[in-house]
Amino acid sequence: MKISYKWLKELVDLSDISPELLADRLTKSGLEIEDIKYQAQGTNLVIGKVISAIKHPDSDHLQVTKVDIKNEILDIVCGAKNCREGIKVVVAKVGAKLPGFEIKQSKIRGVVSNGMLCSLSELGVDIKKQSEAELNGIKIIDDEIEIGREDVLEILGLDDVVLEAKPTPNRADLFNMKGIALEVGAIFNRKTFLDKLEFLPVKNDLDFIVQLNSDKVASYSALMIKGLKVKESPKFIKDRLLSAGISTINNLVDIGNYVMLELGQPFHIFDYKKLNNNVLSVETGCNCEFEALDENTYAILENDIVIKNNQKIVALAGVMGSNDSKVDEESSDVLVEAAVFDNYSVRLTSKRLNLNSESSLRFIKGIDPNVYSEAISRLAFLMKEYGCAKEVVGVKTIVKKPFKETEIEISLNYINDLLGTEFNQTEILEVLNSLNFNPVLNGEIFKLKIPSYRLDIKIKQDICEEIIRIKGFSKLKTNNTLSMVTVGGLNNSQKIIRKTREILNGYGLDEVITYTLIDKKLKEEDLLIDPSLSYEIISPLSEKRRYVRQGLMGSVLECVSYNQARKVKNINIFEISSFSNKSEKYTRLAIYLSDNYLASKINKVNIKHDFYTLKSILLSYLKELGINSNRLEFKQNNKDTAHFYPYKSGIIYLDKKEIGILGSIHPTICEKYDIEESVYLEINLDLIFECKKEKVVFKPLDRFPSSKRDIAILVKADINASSIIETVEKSDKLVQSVEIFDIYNGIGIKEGYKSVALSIVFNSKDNTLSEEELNNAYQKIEFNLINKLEAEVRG
Amino acid sequence: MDIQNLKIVFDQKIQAIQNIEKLNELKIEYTSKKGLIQGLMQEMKNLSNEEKRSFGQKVNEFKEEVLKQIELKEKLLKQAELNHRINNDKIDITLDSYNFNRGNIHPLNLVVKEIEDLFISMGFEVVEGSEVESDFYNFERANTPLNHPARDMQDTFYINKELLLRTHTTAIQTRVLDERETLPIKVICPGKVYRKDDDDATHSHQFMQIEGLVVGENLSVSDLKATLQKLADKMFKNGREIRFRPSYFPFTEPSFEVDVSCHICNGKGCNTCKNSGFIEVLGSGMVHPKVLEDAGFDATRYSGFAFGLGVERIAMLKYGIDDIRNFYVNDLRFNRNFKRFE
Ligand SMILES: [Zn+2]
Repeated sequence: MKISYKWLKELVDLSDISPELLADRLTKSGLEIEDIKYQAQGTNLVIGKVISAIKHPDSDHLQVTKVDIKNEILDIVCGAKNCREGIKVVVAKVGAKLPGFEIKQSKIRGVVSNGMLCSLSELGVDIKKQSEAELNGIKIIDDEIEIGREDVLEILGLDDVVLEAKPTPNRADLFNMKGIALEVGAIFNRKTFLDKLEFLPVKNDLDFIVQLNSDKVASYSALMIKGLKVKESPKFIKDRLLSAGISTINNLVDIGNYVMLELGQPFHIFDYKKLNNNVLSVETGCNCEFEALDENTYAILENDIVIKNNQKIVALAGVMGSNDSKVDEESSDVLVEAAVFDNYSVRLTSKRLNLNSESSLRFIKGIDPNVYSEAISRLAFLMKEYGCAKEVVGVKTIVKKPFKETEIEISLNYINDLLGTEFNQTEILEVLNSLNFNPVLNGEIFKLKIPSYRLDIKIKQDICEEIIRIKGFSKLKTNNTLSMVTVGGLNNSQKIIRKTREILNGYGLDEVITYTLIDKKLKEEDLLIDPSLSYEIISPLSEKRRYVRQGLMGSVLECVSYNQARKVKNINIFEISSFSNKSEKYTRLAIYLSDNYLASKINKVNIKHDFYTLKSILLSYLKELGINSNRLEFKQNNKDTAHFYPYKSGIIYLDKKEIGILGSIHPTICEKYDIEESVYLEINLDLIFECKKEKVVFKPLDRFPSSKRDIAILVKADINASSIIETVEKSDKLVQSVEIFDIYNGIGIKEGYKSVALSIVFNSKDNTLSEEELNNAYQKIEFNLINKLEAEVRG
Repeated sequence: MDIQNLKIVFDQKIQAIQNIEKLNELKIEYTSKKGLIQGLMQEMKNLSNEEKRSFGQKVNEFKEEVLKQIELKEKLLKQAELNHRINNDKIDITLDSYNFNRGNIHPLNLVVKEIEDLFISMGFEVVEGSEVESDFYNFERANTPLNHPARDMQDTFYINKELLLRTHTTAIQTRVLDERETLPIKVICPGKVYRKDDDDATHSHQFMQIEGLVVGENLSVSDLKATLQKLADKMFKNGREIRFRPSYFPFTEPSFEVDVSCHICNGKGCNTCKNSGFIEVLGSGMVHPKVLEDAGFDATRYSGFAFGLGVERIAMLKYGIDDIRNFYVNDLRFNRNFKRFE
């Protein structure tokens, strides 16, 4: 909403209130002023006449002029091409302040200059509002204007200031000048001049039928005016419409818009002679087509509100009239509609058809349900005055839903308790009066009647807001402390997620956050989940954001691809995210490793991340959470060989339950995302949140020395490490730990076999182990290796 | 045998020795079974008992002296050797060889964590909720009327008539209000939210919010302001001035926009605050009585306040980031800038 300061000044007492002060207070009271635009600016300006202009002795494009400003004659150097003897001009005297600069006495190429002859641009006038001639030279003033006058901006018609306001969605009343004037009156406690507006009362006796066949219209008035003359609008109407950003068309249309701006009631004007009979009916749509006055044809749906005359649609309520009932240059008799339509319906229609106008905007915000009769009288007055109307015939008003005034009762204590303030009765009463809430004090209770233009005021809390915004927020204390004692904190899963980040950061992994909505390509990388379970957005922004992801791999690989393309170093990352699909909610962790774990060229160390660094990060991470590695199992991946190398990946189990997958990414996937081969892990964190964590208990140190023995065996190549270790561990209770320290399948080893060297540590908590005990245990191990794994013991 | 002479010879020999090997040879020469001192013992056989005693004493004294000197010399030689070794083992300590990089938490989570921690210290719980939410908890219970623009298909990612991607973390609060039966409630709710905006420098279809909710007895707008003062001091820096402006949110009544005095210029005016001295960072208000009643709380007895902020906006303001997309592109060179919150 653009507010003309000059116009507002006629509606409310603004003496001593500058545009800047006005903007500041309005903003602080809830009406945000985003910008203050002066049409033109400048002090120390005067109208002068160029009495001589001669070429500058030292320049081809400068002229030395003598300018008569009535009391003195100034020497001014001017560079404009259109500067010549005899014209009247705007003179900025020494000391004048213009937008961005100040005029000082100066010497221009050796000639003294006591001021400046101004162009409109130098006065800060928007270049879009200037003619070609005005843009190319100094402003030439009409010859009738006397020299010496100092009200230069008024003479130019450029003395207005426009405040760009952005009302909150609930304040529909701030989309018209009357509402703004009332608001300013309340904030500054100033008188309004609304009672000075001139009206022409119209009787509700028009011989015309209005039928309201829809419950989406609260009231409908049809005003008939005859004998109008279409012509240009008077200057003040044009100026004010332009300052509000509304283009002018002719006096009829302009007057309608003017009253809408002034009082907030939108109008639609039909050419009466183009109507077929004296009946208008308001109905809720039909499936049909409608040719609007913009000459486009629109499809009407059942929920649209339409105005019909003799079965034909003549207007789409609140949005646009029909082409064949519109006023034109020849119109003389008109029927003016002033109605209150359902704002939601108007919004849906205007949004669907992409038809937005000043009228539809106001309907959508919600118009004052009681302003129509005042607005009709005001329109009638202006039509008579500026539309040369011969006869205001009358009006027909049908009210379907009468307006019910909101009544609120509120006590002083309630107000002070909710706000945490200490206002007294007099202060509150003053505010309530300034807002026209008609307060009546009944004991401790204020009884209020809310005016029809404040549809946003419904409950006691609304009154409190009004009071604090008018009194000012500095009245609120900031030294309060919440007295409610509570214990705060993170829950178990929140703690684990934080710890996960810290641990993984410690391994050099960077955290990423990627988008939840993904496309078909990324969706193919939702691991270990039924793809049909994913949610899909009904009407997505684009194909790129159609699906709600069920896993992280696609997003993470896309991020990797982005970084690799930019040669970023150490792309080792993780992401934690929660998910929802058609069957469950869950949280997952993804880890991607590609670069070095540890590298130094100088020290000739280069440990690349691989399956084993990934696995050991996982084990160490879980151990830090209190989950020992003996509760984990890594089994052959026979679930997803599309994303991973079949024999360089595994399914991860925790306490026998599947929690995820890890391994080397399949070359086809690497190619798809244009990334280097690397390793990836994705696990479900929910099982980790829930599962039992090892208690921290003190375990006494071994009292007796342990003994170590090595053993080398020959086994089939597909016997894996964990089964060998498990076989050894389970052979005897004296086995404390088993470590594989060498695997060899080169020269000397028969085809399909491998040699595995183990180091076994034996220990007893009761005594130092005897040679006999050791041999006994060792024999059991040998026996089991031979019998269970078909191993050949080599020594 | 003149032991005195032997002593002089030994002293000369041991003094000339410069390394452990030669010292060991000397030790063998004098003290081994076939060594010089043992030889002296052999000679004793030919002496009288009287002489034996005094000679034996002298030989023993000599032996002790030899062992003592050898031990001393060994210590000196080892020390010298060690000194030699450590003085010649040199590295260039100005060289950087390895590069241990600690990973970084994502900047948005960094901001979330700091704000969570502030409220945890004030006795708040952290509640997160689900990103796929029902229309009911996202809008209906947040007092957003059916005809509110936010409920249009154009503005919200609907999955079907009932389900959507939550448009604000208020959805977490409405759930909390519904699930809790006892007061007070003090929760802080961070999370990802979604709106149908085309991504550009200042808009993102996915972003993060944090909202706080307090419900109990005798809560006032002044309590809200006092709480937000602490938040402003923590997020930017101590001594922030906060300014309320009336606003409109369906969830709260009254509702306020909250401006915080600019942390860059301390309110004097600069580019960050567009010369206003203040930055708009929070939405807040007193929980709408309808919201409380819908959740089963007596709104005549209890009241509450709520506030919310955009995490990206806070991070952008704090660090001078001009494009919101940076947070989701995850160029690691960007992510690694934010080691810690200040
Ligand atoms: Zn600033």
